[in-house]
Amino acid sequence: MIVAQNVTKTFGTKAAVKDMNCTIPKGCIYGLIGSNGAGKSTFLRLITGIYRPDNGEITVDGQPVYENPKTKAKITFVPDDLYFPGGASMNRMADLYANVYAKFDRAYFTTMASRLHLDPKKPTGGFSKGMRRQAATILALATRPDYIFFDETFDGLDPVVRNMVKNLIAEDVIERQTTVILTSHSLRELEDTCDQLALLHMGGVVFESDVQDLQTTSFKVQIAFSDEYDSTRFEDMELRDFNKRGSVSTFIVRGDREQMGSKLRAMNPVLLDILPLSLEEVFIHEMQALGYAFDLEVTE
Amino acid sequence: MFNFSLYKAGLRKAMPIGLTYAILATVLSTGLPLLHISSIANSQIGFRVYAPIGWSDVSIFAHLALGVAPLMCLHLFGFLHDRAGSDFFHAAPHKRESIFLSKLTAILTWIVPIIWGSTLLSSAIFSTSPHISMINMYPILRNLVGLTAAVLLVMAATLIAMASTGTTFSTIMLTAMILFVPRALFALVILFFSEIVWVVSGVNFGIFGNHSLNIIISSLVDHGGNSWQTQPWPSILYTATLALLYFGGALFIFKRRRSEQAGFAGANPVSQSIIRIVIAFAITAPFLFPVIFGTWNMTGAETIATVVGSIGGAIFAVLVYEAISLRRFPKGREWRGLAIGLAVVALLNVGSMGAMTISRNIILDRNITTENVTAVSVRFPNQRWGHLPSYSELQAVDISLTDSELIAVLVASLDEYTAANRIGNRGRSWHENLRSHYRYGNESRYRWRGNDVLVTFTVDGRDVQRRLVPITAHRNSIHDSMARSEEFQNAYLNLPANPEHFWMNSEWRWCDESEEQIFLPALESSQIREVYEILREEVRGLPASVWLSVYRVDGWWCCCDFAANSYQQGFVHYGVIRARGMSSGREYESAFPITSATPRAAARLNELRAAMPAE
Repeated sequence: MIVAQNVTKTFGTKAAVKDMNCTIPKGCIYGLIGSNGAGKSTFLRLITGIYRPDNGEITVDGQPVYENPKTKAKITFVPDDLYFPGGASMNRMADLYANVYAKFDRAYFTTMASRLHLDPKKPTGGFSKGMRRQAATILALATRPDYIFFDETFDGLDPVVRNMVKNLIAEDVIERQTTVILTSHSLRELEDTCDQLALLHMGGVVFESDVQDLQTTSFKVQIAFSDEYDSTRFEDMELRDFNKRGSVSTFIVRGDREQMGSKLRAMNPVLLDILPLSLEEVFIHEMQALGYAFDLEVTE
Repeated sequence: MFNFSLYKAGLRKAMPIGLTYAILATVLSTGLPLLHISSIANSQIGFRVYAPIGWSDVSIFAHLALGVAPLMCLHLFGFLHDRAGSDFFHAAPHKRESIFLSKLTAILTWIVPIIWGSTLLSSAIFSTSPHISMINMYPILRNLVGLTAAVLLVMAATLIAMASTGTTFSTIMLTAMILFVPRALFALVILFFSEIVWVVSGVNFGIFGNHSLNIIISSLVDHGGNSWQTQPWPSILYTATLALLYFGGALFIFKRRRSEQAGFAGANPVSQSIIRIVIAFAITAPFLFPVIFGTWNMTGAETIATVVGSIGGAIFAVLVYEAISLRRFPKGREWRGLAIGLAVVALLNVGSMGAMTISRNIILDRNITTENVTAVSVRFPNQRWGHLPSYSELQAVDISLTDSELIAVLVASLDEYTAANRIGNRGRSWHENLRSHYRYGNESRYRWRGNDVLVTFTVDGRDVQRRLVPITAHRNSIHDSMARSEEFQNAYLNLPANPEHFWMNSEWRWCDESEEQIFLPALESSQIREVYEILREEVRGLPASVWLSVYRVDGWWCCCDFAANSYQQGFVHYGVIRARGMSSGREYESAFPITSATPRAAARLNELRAAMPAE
C-alpha cells in the first residue's frame, strides 16, 4: 500500500505538490488525472524516490522510499521522457536493467519482445514513439515489480499500440497482483483501465473515488410531470444540475439506481428516463459538487 | 556502499573508451621504445651515444589518462546531464553512494591498469637493451604513483563539477576552475605580496606558495623542469590527499543533488555564489592592488579608469557567467544575491590588501643581525632547467653553514635589499625601485630579479627564509665563503658510491698538439665503472679548489657539472663519465670530467681506449 501524508514538493517558489494526501491500496490500478502542471509527474517522482519531499512522508508498504533500496527494489517507473541512451538496443537496455534491478526476468523480456515484434538487437533510436513505449513497458515489467508507475504512458499513442500496452499491464496485474499507477491528462485514456481514479489539481488530490462506485452511483435523469413542479419535489434526493425546460427537467442524481428508480416512479411522472453517465460526466459533476471549476483540459 | 552489478554495468559502458585507450597505449608503448632502440642501435655503428631513459620516455601514453579519465567520468556519469537518465538512476534500488562508488571503481579499473601497464611495458622493453638505454625503475615507479594521484585529482574535480551542474559545458568550465583557480589565486596573492615585500618567495607561504605540490599544476608550469624529475613524496601525498578530499566533496554533492538539475547549466546556489565571487575577485584584485599599493605609475585619470574599469569588468563578467549558466539574466531577488556577492568581493579585496600591509611591516621589521643568526643555508635557482639535478647539487642543497663571514655578507645583503624595499610604495614599481637603488653610485651593481638566491637564516634557533638579489660583490663573497665550507666541499668531493648506470659516449675532439680531430671511442659499462672508481678515489684526495675549478662553470657550483672550460683552468680534458642514480629519494644525473687533475683515472681511461678495437 502506498500512503502519502501531507506531502509537499516545491521548485523554487512554486509548489508542484502541496499537502497531498492519498492512499493507494495494494493490487489496484490507480489513475491520476490532472492538467499539465497539476503535479502528476512530481508525485510519481516522489513515490519512486527520485525526489525527496520537502514536507510530509511517503511510504510504500509502511517503509519510506527515498534512499531506501529495499523499498525501491519493489518499484519500477516508466517516465514520460524515456531513458534510452544513444545507440542503445533493447538488449543493451536489458543488460542495464539486469544490473540495476536484481529481479530482472530476461526470459519474460525475450518472450515479450518477440510477442510484440520488437527487434531487441536494433538500436532503439530507430524505433517509433509507440515502439519505444512498448520497449520501455516490457523492460519495466521484466523487473517483476510489486509497484509500477507509468507517467503519461498512453498519451499520443495510436489505439492499436495503446491497447497492446494496456494489455501488457493488465496481464501483469492479473498474474502478479501488481499495483499500478497511471497518469494522464485525459480521463478517457484511463477510464477503461483503472480501478480507482484521483484528480490532481494545483498539486493536491481534489477528488478520489472507486471507478465502479462512480459509474454505478450517479445517473442522469430525464423526467416530466403533468403538473407544475420545481426542484423542491426532489428534496430528499442528492441532486445536481437541475435543469427545467417546459415540463421536462434533467438532473444528476446520486444513489442506488433501483431505489432511485422506484422513488421517481412513485411520483407518477409522465416521462422518466434514467441514463448512465460517462466517467467524464461523473467527474465533472463530482468536481462541481466540490466547488472546483473543472479544467477543460482534463477532459480534452 | 558498492554494488557489483552496477560496477559491471560501468565497466561495460566504459569499454569503448577504455578499450580504445588500452589498445592505443599498448601498441604505442611497445612500438615507440622499439623504434627508439633500433634507431640508437643503427646510429651506433662506429659512434656510440647512450640514451638514459627517463620518466617522460616511458609515460607519454600514461599521461593521456589525464584526459581519458575525465572523459570516462563524463561518459559514465553522463546521466547527470540527462533528465531521463538522472531519473532512471535516482529511481534505481541503490543508495546514491553505491551508484557513485561502483561507477567510479569501474573507471579506475580501466584507467589504473592502463597507466601502469603501458609505462611498465615501455620500461620493460627499454630494459631489454641495457647496452643502449639505461633505465632506473624506482623513480619511474614513484612517478607512476604520482601520475595516478594526479589522474585521481582530475577525476575528482570532474565529478564535483558533474554533481554540481547539469551540462557538459558547465562541467568542463567548473572542472577547470576547481583544478586551476585556487592555485592561480594563491599565485596572484603571492605575486602581489612579493611586489611589496621583495624578500619573500613562495617558500614563505608554505603549501600555498609551493605550486609544485600539486602535480597537475606542476606538470603544466614546470613542464620540462620538475615534471622530468622524480616526483617528491610530499607532492604525491598532497595530490593524493587533495584528490581524496575532492572525491569526498563530489560524493557529498552527488548525494544531495536533485534529479531535476540535469540539463541545467547553473550550478547549485552555493557553488554558483562561490563561482561569482571567484570570477569577480580574480578580475578586480589584479587592478585594484597596484592602485592601492602604488606599484604602477599612473596619473589620477588612469587610476580612476583602472578602478572603474576593473569593477565594471567584474560585474560584466559575472553577468556573462550568469547568462551562460542560467540561460537568462538575473531577475528579482537574484539581483540582491549578486549585490551581496560583489560586496563580499569588495571585502575580500580590502581584507586581503589590509592583511598584506600588516604582513609587509612584520616581515620588513624582522630583526635579523649578525648577532642573532647562528647559521645560514643558500639555495641558488636551478639554471639547468629541464635537467635532472646532479648528485653534488642534491648533497649541497640546504647545507647549514656557520661561516661568520658568509653570515655577515648575507645579513648585509639582506639589509641593503630591505632598505631598497622600504623606499618603495612611492608611486614607483618594484622594478624602478630596484633599479634606482642598485644603480645608486654604480650601474654595474644592478641585478635582475632572476639572479635571486633563497637564504635560510637560522635566527635564535628558528629558520627564517628570505629571497635576496645580491649585488655582484656580495655574490662573489657568498661563493668564496661557501667554497671554504667543509660541508660544501664534501658535497662535491664525495662522488656517489654506486650509481645505477654509467655511460660514456664516443666523441671527436680536437687534439691540442696536432690540431687535428681524433676519435675517442666509448667504453663498456664495466670499464667505465673501473675508471670511475679510480676517479672517485682520486677526487676524494684532491684539494677542493682543484676539483671545483675543473668542475665549475661561470663561477656557479649549483649548475656546474659540465667541465666545458677545463683547458682554461690549465687541465687537459679526456672525456666525461656520466652517471645516473638515486640519492635521498631523488634521481640525479651527473657528468664527471676526466682531466689531468685526476691523472690515474685519465691514464686508465687512455689505456682502455687504446686497447679497444677500432670501430
